[in-house]
Amino acid sequence: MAIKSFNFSKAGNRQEESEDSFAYDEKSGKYAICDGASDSIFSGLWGSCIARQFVSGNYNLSNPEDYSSMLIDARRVWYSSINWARLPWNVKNKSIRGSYSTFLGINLIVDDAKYCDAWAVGDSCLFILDDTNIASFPVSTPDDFGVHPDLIWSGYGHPMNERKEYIPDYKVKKFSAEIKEGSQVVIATDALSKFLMEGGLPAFDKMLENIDNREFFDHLRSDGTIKNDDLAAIIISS
Amino acid sequence: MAYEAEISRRRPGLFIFLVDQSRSMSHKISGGQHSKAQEAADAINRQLNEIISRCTKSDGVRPYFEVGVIGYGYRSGDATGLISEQPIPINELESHILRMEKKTQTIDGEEIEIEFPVWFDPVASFDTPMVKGLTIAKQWIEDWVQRNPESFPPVLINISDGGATDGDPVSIAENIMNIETSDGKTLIWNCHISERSERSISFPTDLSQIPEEKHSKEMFDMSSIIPESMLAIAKEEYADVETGARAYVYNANLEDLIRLLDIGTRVVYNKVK
Repeated sequence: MAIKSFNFSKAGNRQEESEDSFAYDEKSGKYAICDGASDSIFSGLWGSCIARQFVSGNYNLSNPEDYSSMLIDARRVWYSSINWARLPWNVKNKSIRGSYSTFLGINLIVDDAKYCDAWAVGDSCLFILDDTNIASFPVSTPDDFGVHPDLIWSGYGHPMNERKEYIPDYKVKKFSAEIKEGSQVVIATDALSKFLMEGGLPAFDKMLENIDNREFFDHLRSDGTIKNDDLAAIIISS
Repeated sequence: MAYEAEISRRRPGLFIFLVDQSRSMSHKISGGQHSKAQEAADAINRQLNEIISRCTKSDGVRPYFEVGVIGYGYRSGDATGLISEQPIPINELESHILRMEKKTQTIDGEEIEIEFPVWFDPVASFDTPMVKGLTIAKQWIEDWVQRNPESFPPVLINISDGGATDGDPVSIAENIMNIETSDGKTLIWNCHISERSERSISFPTDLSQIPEEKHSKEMFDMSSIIPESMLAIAKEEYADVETGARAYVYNANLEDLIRLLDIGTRVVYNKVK
């Protein structure tokens, strides 16, 4: 199995300002990608905590209790990563309301055949490509990439966290498919997913040719082919 | 396509707030507990705080906007920048804070004490030299557009309870509305605040919708037509806003003032990338 990945911040932003994040563990077959919401603060951190928790833990997200456990564990890491007492007034005022992120997690299971289970909140996308077909989840047409996708909330920041218990809201979409021999599996955040969906197989080829070439994506973002957004993907080829 | 430019550090936006400091601003605003001057100052201070919040990331405030506040009438026939002598990047606003105030905010039914900055205090002193205020704004906008020719166009929001006492504000407002970037012309929003409890008139399309008073007509003429891209947001608050509506609320009470500031700024925030 060959795994490639990239994460390019918005054109004009520094790389460390990307609010997209991903994590994977080839051994366990777990891959996750998250897109932190720009409107909230510490959302890149929150997305990264969710992705890492999914990959490092053993959660069956079809079970709402497991989903809650994963997010409560991710929230614990998120909360302890922030030095609440030292935040300046403006960061403190904004962070009270917590952070938001999309999430897409997949589990590649190799048995007699290869299967993929996927769970999603929001519009980060899974693509399964064979020679002729592209299957996508959870978004099926480019027009469905909305301005307000579903998001996972971190719960409140300090000091509201002391007054309100964090109870995650279960709004997960599920998907399962068999992966044919020779197929490619791609997970990507929204702007890149829309580009791939609109462009079909040639767009996937272009992405693969330019996986280390930020300038290529900057050009597509400046000419409007891709929205100026953070772009991240994991590409898994068997 | 007008009013579509993305706002970024490279192409920031500009907000200018103009506030009337005339004597009559000391009267209590309709629908509120405090004077028009106090409510106008509170509303602008809150809006500056909101702009900072929109630009705040975990690593600090990103300079997506420049802002300036101009007061007119603090002394006879005069106007001045209340925070700075020129518009300043939003990340520099921190160093111009007058004081921090603790206020209670209700979040999810819980009362939380939060610190808010105040950049300027209310003043209600003399006459209404609106033309002088607009003259300063025009200079600020011209300079800014020269530096930012491809940015989202400047947005100027004027809050007043009466007419100009120093000449014709319409011609200079028209000049300002003709200053443009490649993305469109400068937008002027006007809020005529009132102490009377009569019904307010929000976003009129026609002069016949407002009373036949010199000042109310002037403010209609010096208000931009709301661009199509902003109409949807105005309609969220006022269902009957029509194409061709002016960015103007006449006889505004406190709630109208807050709504106008919200609508005038929210569509611009949506352009931040």
